[in-house]
Amino acid sequence: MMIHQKIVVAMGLWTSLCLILVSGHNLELFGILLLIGILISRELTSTYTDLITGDRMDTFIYIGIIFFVAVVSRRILNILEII
Amino acid sequence: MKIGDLKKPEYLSKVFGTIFIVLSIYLFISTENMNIAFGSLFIGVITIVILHFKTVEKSTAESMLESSVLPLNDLIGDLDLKGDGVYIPPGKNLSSSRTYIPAGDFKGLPDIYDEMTIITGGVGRTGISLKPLGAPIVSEAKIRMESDLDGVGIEGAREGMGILTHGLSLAKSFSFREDEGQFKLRITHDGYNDYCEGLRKYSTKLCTRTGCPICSAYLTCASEGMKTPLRVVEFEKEDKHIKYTLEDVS
Repeated sequence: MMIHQKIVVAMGLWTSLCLILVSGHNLELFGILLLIGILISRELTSTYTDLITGDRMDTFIYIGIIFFVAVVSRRILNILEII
Repeated sequence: MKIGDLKKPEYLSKVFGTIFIVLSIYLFISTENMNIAFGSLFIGVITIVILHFKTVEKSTAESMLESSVLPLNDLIGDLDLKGDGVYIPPGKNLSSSRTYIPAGDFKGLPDIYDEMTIITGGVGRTGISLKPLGAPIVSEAKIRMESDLDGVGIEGAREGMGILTHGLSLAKSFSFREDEGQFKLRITHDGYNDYCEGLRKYSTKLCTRTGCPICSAYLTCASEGMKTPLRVVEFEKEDKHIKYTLEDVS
């Protein structure tokens, strides 16, 4: 099995595990767990992946970070009772 | 695109990815459990985006690999070169790695330059110098490493071989270690064992001279990492395991 196939299989298994762990309706926590999964797989495979795959995984990470910032901002605004 | 192309991994991944995305849209619309819909969307998109490589049939890839080895092996056989290969890293006279095959028993390295193929360095120092068959594969590994192998030591050589093994899927596993002044390299084949056996039926001397592109890539990685010429002293093939014993001849 090639390295990018292993990445996809690992992410599929991680997503399934997260679905079991976050069985309720907490989309924020689920999204953050997916971000953690992709960050770990990027770090573990960084030397073995080619540049194109690395760049594409980075794109997922950037989207995940934007999502994370949005979640944190929403929580802060909630605590401050602005929204 | 033909219907038969759908069996190829790059198209199959797009089919599976699309199924997951369509499923996620259905789940977004019809259920309240957003996690399953979001997870399905994530798997669909990551399958399409990450599995992007074009692939060729295994038999085609093996034939292409053989096409570079067999004519070279015939040429070396006709020249009646008796020595085993010496893998030389880039140095003062060389801008890239070379494989030197002595005409007779090895009695020291002659002066080798980039533009020389036939080496006539005096008694016991005659032979041919070729670019290693695995050099383009090592170049790909260096691009992935984002650094050079030039004298990085045994750990660096192992890192390069790790990319050949896990990044480029050339073998199942490898080990490279120093043992009483010699270097032991062991490669365990996975998908390319039939290709290796096929070449060895054609010529068993091939492995100790130039090696196939796969073994040559590992040996080039070893010599560049150690920044020292390494001569093949012993070779053994046992099931899927290839064992090289290498000697530093600097």
